[in-house]
Amino acid sequence: MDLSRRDFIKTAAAAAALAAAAGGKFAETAEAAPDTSGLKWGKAPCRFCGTGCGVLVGVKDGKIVATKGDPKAPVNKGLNCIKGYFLSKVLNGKDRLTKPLIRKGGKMIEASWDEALDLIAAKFRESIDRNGPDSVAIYGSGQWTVFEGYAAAKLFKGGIGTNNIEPNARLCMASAVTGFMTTFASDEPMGCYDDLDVGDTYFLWGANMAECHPVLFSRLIENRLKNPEVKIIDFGTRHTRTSQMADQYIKFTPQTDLALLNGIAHIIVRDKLYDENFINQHAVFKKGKTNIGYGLEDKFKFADDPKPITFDEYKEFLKTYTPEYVSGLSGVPVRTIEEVARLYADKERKVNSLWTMGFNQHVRGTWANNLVYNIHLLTGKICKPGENPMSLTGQPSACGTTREVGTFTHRLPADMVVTNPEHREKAAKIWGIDPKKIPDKPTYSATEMFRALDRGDIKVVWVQVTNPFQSLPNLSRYRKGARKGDGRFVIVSDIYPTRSTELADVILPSASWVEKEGVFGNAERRTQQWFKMVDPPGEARNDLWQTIELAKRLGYGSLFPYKYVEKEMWEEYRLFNAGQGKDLAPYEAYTKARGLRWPVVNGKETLYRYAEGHDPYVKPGEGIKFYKNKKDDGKAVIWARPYEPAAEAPDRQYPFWLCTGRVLEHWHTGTMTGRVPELKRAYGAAVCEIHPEDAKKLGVKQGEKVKVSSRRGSIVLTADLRGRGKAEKGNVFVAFFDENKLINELCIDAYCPISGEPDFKKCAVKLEKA
Amino acid sequence: MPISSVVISCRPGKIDVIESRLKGLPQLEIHHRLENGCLIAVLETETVDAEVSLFNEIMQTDGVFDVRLAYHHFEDLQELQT
Repeated sequence: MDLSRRDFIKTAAAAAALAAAAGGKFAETAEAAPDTSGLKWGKAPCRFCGTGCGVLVGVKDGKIVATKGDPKAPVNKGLNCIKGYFLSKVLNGKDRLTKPLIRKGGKMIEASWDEALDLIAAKFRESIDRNGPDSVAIYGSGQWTVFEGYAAAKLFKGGIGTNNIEPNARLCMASAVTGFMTTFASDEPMGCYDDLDVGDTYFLWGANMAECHPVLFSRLIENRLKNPEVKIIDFGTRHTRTSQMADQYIKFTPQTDLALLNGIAHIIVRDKLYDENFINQHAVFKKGKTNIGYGLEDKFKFADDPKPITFDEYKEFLKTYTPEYVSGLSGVPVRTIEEVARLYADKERKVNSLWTMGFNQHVRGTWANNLVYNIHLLTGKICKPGENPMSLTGQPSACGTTREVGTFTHRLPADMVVTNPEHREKAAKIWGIDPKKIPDKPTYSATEMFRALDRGDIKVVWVQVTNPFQSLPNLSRYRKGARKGDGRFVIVSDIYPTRSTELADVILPSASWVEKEGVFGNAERRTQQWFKMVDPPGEARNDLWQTIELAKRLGYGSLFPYKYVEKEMWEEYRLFNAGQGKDLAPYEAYTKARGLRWPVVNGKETLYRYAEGHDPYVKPGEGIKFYKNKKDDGKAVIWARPYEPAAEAPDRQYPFWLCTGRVLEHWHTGTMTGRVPELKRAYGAAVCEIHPEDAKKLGVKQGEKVKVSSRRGSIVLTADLRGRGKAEKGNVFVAFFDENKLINELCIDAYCPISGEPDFKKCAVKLEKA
Repeated sequence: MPISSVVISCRPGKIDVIESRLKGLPQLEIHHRLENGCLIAVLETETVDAEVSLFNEIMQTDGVFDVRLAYHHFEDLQELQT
């Protein structure tokens, strides 16, 4: 590149940053300036987290040579987080998979697509013939495009005739789903990211937004800069970069969030700080089963039994949760609990609650979600601009694909379920199949699916766009199960070698991100489309194509009769959503817009669900209407859900809590970010964050090795006493991105009985100097 | 050599100190200083590796509370790989 071109690019780069930072006339100037860089720009949502930032991708001579924050994208307004740098390289790693590989004599041998797909089809047929359709399965992810997820659901539920389809979102968002469904009878939030700009009080519950949702956290911080009244309160079990930036950090003992939430409700009720009119008009009270177990046994089953209760009975239930009792459990001072409750109830304040995996990866994850909604329903701080509870997501299409398309064993698109005959009927009609084809019983949640593979009840599993043999809890069992032989056959589609491809019988090379056309849906109900911009390397192919090719070989090609696959599939898919409060726009609309938040009715998106003047389903004069909850007359449910302990808590033998999670530089299991050598150096190997006093007792110094052991496994890690994240006393934290340090071998595979989501945040470990 | 631009958000009253400190970094040019407490900088380094390191260094500078990436150009990187 010559000097004048470099200068030109530097000027363009500075102009882009100026436009994003200053807005106004700068933005107009930058947009009006002709682009003489010789690049062709296309829009796409970012490949990484669930925030759904807009990225403009610059292509020259068939290669991506530049990216920039999309100034027209309302989510990020022209700016990306540090992960924007990774986009330059995630598609271009040297070890990118480019040919199908088949295991022969213990070695992975290159094969043609026909050979690989014929083999896969033969294995599917053989297993279905011998063991029935429930012996084959597909396991995808919140990184599936809507099309990929839809095709998989249609083939498995509507073609093969099994509900053996699950996404890794079961490991991250399932409790949010069951929380929404049990409280509002409809999945996904009422509010949107605009709440970050216009509220004034933000409670973060175990969410390290500064590292995991940096662009959204920036919006919060900008709001606080403009408005000194803004308060950010960080409830956590670990002091993070977010805690540093918050106005208040409140540490609590793991699992006691349930008690704290009930304690806050106790004070609101005790001191009559609730909004009685709102409650009378918009809420009912219920209780469910208690002592509901932990899903530790294979084939664990649970069905809740909701019973209506009165407000007085709810008040009675709350009596246990005095500030003193809650303080004893949680370690949070009584005064702080009182202050927090008053802040939540302050009529002058616009209050928001934000959470991610702290609530969701929880053996009572559904309850934690219910309990935070309780507070917003008691105080009437919901469905209003700047006043909402919001569950953030970790993957780019956990919402758009897994939740909206319904790629779970029990689900169908648009919140429908396989157990409901009318829902099966509707799905069958749209799919053009006999309703009897869709089985009426769910089979396995994600953990149970891999237990079934281990037992041999599932023989053939196809993994797409995810890395379960690094990300499942109690990992050793499931890794061993995959290679037990006896007819088991594992197919993994991915873009790089992973800890899952190493266990595969067939590896298929996939296209990623802008190497294919796609749609993702983010955490604020925003549906975003992009076109294919570059070719995938070698023989890599779209997962959508791969699934349809299997369908053809199994005799279900007629389920996919499309010419322009994506567009026609979209128009079919949105038939499920029309008229259900989940309406989607025609495909064309998304090709132009920077995403639209559903329901989209008459071309208009919806910022606030259930709110008159925003949501077209709410009639004039209704104000707020939770119209999806028909069985409770359009009211939301305030749940009496108690505190119950974790599945495994520290004891004499294993005296520490282990919490796992993410760090800024690496995304999930690191299969993409781990390909960027500089990131490996920046945060090369997973470390064990330990409190300095605990380390001193163990005789461990900064940088020394420590052996971490649970009842399920052991791992040696470097001790980190002064990293960005700081463990509280009695707690350790380890990130799960490191493929060489499989921390999930230590995690317990206990899960929330209602959501099926495992608790990666709490198990007991011991530490020894190594 | 990749080129990128970033927006650096400074805590109130800190922009002068931050600007003078960052001006000492050889691979970084400050292009604009905004009234809202933001600095616009262009990073020009040998590798993406160095860009990410520099980004992290800026982030850890006292008084900086946020750094965001606006533009990333890596044409030369592609030329090297092909």
